[in-house]
Amino acid sequence: MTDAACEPLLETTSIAKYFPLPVSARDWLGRTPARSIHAVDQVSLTVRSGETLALIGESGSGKTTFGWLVARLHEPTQGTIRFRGQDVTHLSGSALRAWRRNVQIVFQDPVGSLDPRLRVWQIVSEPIRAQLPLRRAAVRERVAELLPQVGLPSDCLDQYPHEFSGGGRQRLSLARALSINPSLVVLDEPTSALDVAVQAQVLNRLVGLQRERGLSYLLITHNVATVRYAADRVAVLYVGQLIEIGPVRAVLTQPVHPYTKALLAAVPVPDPKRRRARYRISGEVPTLINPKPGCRFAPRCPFVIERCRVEDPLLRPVAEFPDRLVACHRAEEVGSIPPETLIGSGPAPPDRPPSN
Amino acid sequence: MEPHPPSSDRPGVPGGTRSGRMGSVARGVGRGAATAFRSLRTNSLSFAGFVLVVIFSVAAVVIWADPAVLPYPALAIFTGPLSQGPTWLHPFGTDELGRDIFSNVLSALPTDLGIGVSIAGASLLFGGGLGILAGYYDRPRSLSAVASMTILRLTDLFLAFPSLILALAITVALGRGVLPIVLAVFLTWWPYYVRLVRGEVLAVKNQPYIAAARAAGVTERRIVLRHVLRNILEPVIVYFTLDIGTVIVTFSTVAFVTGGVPYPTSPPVEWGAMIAFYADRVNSLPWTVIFPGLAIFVTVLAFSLLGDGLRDLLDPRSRRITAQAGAALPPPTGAELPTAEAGSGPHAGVAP
Repeated sequence: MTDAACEPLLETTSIAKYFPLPVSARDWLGRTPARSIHAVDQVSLTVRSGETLALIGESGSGKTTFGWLVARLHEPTQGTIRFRGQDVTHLSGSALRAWRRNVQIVFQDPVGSLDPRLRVWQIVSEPIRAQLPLRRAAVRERVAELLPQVGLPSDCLDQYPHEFSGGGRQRLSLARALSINPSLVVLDEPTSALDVAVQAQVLNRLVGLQRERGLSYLLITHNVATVRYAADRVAVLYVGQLIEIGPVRAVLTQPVHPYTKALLAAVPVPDPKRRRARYRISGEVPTLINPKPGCRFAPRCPFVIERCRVEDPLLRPVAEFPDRLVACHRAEEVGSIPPETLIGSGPAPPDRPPSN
Repeated sequence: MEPHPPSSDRPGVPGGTRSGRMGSVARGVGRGAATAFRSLRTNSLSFAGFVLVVIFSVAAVVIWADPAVLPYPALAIFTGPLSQGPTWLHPFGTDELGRDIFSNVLSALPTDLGIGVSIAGASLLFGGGLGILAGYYDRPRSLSAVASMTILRLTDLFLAFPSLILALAITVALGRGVLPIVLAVFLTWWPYYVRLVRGEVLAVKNQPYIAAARAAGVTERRIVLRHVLRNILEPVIVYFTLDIGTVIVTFSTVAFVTGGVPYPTSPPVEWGAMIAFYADRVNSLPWTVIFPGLAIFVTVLAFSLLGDGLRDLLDPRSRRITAQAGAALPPPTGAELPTAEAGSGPHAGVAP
């Protein structure tokens, strides 16, 4: 967790996933160009060995699609994925299946991601049985050893997933992902379906397992508190594009990109005396269907200049912020503004709820 | 493969759990059958259907193996008084040539059950197989998508025809006999299974656990066999069981209308053909029509009740609930207890 200077484990280069929209007869006759949803657009980032990289962004920003791309559950439209320096973008068939032991995924939905017809030992051992020629007894033995590590009793091998609570199911998911000893685990909102107390338990377990096994995590979440607690670095996605990436502490205390500033200002602070940040943005999230050129955040950005509307900002290092990459034309000017002093373009909310 | 220390040596796993775990293996096997039976018995109607189907099946096998168990030979004439109503010697009465209706109805049992199971079974295998192909393998712009499209359009073609009319037409074209009717009914029957199975496959294949299996490195073929088949089985088996009764009715209808089964000149005896033969005696000798009709009715009813019971039986969720309601509660899972969390490093109890 601490040796962040380790070599890159997984590297994506300008990876993109476009989902084509169906072509209607009228489109075809009118020769309208094909349209597609640009769920992930030109994202380049690196997951280092042994670190937790958090991926945050609002709903529909492409976090989950990116996680699925990394786990090779979606075919990327363009770009490359490298794992330990080896290009794995176009692996297929048995080579792909064999590679899958390196990257496992914990799905967002703890109910739907466990086959209701299978027993616990069959669910948890699925990667083992797909990858290793083990006999049934040996497989059960391994599962029984694994379950206590995720905080489940080892005598529930023959139970069905519906007999577990939400937290228990998420632990089963986690046990399944860990059963084959992967190097990278994609955690797709591992705690968002759980209540706060169970969230804390599961997060503790995740952090503990990472220490014991030297795992790397790609932690997909929309919860800033989770990021602060569990992650080493954080990447911010907006409408399918990576807009800022850097160390957690630095990004959370001094965000550079205007969207990151707005995102963090929107996090509620559990202190009634503290005045809420005035920085607000208005407007809607732009469409993902054939987006226009220029910065995707330009229509909502309080710092927008003409250049933002015509030229795509590239992800680039910013001088004052070490180990940070930001996609903003005005990163240097905007980055140094302290978040408290920002006045946004939207209406400021009332400081207190109106008393009736 | 890597060596594993015995689980009792590992920290956090008390030695006692090991014997408990091995004990639960044996318990799990015996428990499955016992819970299944208990769950079936909680619903008395479906249990009655189950008992009837078992009795009919056993009787059909016995009669098929040894027709001498029948009180009188099937189709034999002058077995007793002519045109007689039900008596102890002839429970279903006799017809005007002294054929024993009870023996004839019983001798039709293997034929009708066999026809029902074989037509529904063949449709299940053929139509269901095509349904899995059409539902699971439909990646756009691939050869499999073309195959799926072909299967579905062919299915639509068959479904667009009224199935009874189509079956009648095919029977007439193929000629008399049991086999032509079986073939005709099958040809109109399989498309429903394509639709049913494809729909179920479509619902299952986008479930996250399918993606999870793929991420685990499971082959597509194993995903279909292990996850897809298993999860569509419940509605398909239920439909299949209900369908056996419907097939028997349809077959009897076709036999009734076309006269394809030559009752009473030669075997096999079949209920629909019996009813067709005795239809004009419905006023004078009503028992000759009522009892074959009753046989069809009770058989269809038995399969319907069993089908409803199977729906509850095949779903592990409802099975466990009925088992809990009817018997002792299983031991608590302890899934919610943060046992392993307590005191595990500096992070224990730290909220994010």
